[in-house]
Amino acid sequence: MENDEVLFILLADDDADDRLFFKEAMEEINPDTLVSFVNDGSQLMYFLNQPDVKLPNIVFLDLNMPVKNGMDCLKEIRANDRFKELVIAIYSTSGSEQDVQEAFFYGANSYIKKPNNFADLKSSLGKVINRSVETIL
Amino acid sequence: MKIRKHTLASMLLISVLVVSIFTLFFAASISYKQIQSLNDSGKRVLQSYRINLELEQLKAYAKDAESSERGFLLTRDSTFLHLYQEALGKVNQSLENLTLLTFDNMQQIKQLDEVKNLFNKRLDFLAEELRLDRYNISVLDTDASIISQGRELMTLAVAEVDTMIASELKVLRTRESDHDKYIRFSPFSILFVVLLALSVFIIAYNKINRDLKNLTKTNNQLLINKEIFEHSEQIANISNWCWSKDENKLTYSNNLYHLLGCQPNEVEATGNFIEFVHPDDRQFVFEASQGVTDELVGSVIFYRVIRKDGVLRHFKSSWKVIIDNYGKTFIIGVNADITEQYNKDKMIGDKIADLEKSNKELSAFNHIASHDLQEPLRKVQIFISRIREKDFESFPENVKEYFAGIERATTRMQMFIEDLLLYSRASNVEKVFELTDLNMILENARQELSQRIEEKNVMIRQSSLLPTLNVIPFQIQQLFNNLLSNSIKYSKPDLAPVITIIPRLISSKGLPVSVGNPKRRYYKISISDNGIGFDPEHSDDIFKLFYRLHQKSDYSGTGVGLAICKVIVENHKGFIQAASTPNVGTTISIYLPA
Repeated sequence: MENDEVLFILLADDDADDRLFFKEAMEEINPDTLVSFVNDGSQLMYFLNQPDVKLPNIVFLDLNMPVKNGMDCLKEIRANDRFKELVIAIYSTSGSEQDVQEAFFYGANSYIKKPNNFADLKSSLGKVINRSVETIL
Repeated sequence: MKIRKHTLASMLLISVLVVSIFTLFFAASISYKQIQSLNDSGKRVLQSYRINLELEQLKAYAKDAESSERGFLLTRDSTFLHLYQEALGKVNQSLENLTLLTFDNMQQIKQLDEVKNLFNKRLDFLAEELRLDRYNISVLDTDASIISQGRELMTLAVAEVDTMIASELKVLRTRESDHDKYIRFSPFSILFVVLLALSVFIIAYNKINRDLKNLTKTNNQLLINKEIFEHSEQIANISNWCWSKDENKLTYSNNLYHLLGCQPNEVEATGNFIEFVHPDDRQFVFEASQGVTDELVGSVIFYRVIRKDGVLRHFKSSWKVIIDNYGKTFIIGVNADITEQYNKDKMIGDKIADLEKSNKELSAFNHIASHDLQEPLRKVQIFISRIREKDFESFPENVKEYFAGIERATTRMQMFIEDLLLYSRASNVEKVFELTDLNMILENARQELSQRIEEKNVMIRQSSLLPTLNVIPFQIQQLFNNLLSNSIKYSKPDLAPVITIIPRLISSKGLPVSVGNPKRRYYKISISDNGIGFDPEHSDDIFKLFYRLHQKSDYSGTGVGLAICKVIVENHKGFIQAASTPNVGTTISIYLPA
C-alpha cells in the first residue's frame, strides 16, 4: 500500500445501529479512512467477486447475518487466492470460545466481540487497524 | 444345560439287590450240595446193607447147594437134585449181584473174586461128586479126600464171605456216621439259608417301603408346588411351555390359555400359538421359534398377541434348552404378558422424553434470553456512552439524574444477563473430568481476585493442603472464585476479612444427605469467613436462583453466584451446605467424591 492511498475498510453487518457506531468510531479514529458497508454475506461476496473491483484492505465481518453468515463468507474468501492479501476481522456479538476458535481456524486475522461502550469500541477497532496497517505496510 | 442327576438312591438299590441275589445263590448252592451229600451217604449206607444181606444169602445158598447135593447122594431122590440146581443158580445170581454192588470198593472186589474162585472150586468138587455118582461110584466110599477137600474149600469160602461181611460192616459204620453227620448238619444250613433270605427280604422291603414313603411325600410336595406355581403364574401373568424335541410334543401350562383368553386345552398346543400372534410380528416370532433348538443358550423376544377376545397384549418370551437325565432334549420356555409393564415403561419413557424436551427448551430459552437480550442492551449502553461523552454536560440537572438512573439500570441488567449466561453454561457444560490438584485451582482463583484481596486486606488461611481430585477444572475454579468473592463481598466494613479453608476426608456418614453407597468417601471442604453472616433459616434458600438476602443498594449482586455453585457441585455428584451466625460469619461446606 502506498502512503498517499487511503485505508479502505469494508463492514459486513446486517444491523443498522452497529453500522452507525462503526462509522462514527472510524471517523473518530481516522477521518481519512474510506468506510463502506454491505448488509449481509451474499452482498459481501457479490461485491468482492466483481471483476476489477478495488478490494478493501480490511473486511470487518459479522457472524450472525441473514442469507449467508459470516463464517461461510470467511471460508469462501480464504478458499480464493485472489483474496489472500485481505485482512479479515470478525466483528460479532458472540464471545463464545467455540466461535473464536472456529474463526481463527478458518483464517480470520482478528476477532472483536462487540463492546458495550463506545470508548471500548474505538480502542478495539483502533488496535485491529494499527496492527493491520503494520502488516499491510 | 443338564438336569442334575438324582439316581444315586436307585444305584444303591440295584447294588444291594445284586449282592443279595449272589448271597442267596451262594447259600442255596451250599445247601443243595449238603442235601446232595446226604442223599449220597444214604445211598451208600443202603448199598452196604445190601452187600451184607447178599453176602449172608450167598452163604445160605452155598449151604443149600451143599446140603441138597448131600441129600441127593444119600437118598437118590431127584428132588434134591432139583433143589441143588436151583441153589446153584441162586449162588451164581448172588455172586453176580455182589459184583454189581461192590463196583466201588477195590478191596471187596478182590475178596469177591477170591470168594467166587473158592465157590467155583467148591462147586467143581460138588459137580465131580455128582459125576462120580452117576457112574455109581460112591463118593463117600471111594474118595473121602475129595469130600474133605470140598469141605475145607467151603469153610474157606464161608470164612472169606465172613471177612467181607465184617469189612462191609466197618464200611457201613463209617458211612452211617457220615450220614448221621450230614443229617445233623443239613437242617442248620437250610435254616441259615432261609434266615438269610428272610433278612434280605426284610431289608429290601424296608428300603422299598421307605423309598415309597419318600416318593409319596415328594409327590405330595410336587402337587403343592404345582398349585403354588399355577397360582404364581396367574398372579404374575406368566405361563410356561415345554417342547420335547425327541417326541415333538408341545405342552402349555394352563395359564397360557388364560393369557390367550381361552379355556384350558381349548386349542391344540402344537403350532396354534402363532395364530394368536399379531400379524405384523408373526414372521419374526416364527423365525425365532425356528432357531429355538440351535442355540443352547436361551433367548428373549418381545412381540404382540391378540387375545381371543380381540384385545392386544404385549408378550415377552424367553426359553432355554435342557437335557434331562435320560439324555433327551427339551426346550422350556416362559411366556409373560408384560402389557402392564409395557404401558408403564411407555408412560415413563414418554414422560422422560417430555422432560428432556422441556429441559432442552428451558436451556435454549435461557441461552436465547441471555444471549439475545445482550444485543439490544449493548446498543442501549453504547448510545448511553455516546450521550455521556457528547451531550451529558448540556443536560439540565434533573435530566442528568434521570440519565444516571438509566445508566445504573442498564448496568444492572447487564450483570443479570451475564450471570444468567454463566448459570446456563454451568448447567450445560460438557462434563470433561480431569485429575486436578485443587491447590492449583485455588491459587488461580486467588490470582483472579488479587485486586480485591489486596484492597480489602483479606487473609486466606488453610488448615492443610487440598486434595487432587477428578473434577471439571474451570468449574471448580469458578466455584472457589464465587465462594471467595462472596466472603469478601459480605465482610464487615470495619474488620479485615479472614477466610479459613479446611479440607477433610470423610465417610458418607458425614454427608448432609444419605447416599446409596455407604462405602463411598468424600472430601469436605469448608470455607468459613468472619463476615456479616445471615439468619440460618435462609441457609437452603441462598442456593436458589435470583434469591437475595440484601437490598441491592447495600450489596451488589444478582443472586446467581451460589446457584451456580450448587449446579457445579451437583455436576460433580457432590453436595453443598451453608451454615451461618449473623454478625459472626458464614461457613459454606462443599462435599466432593474422593
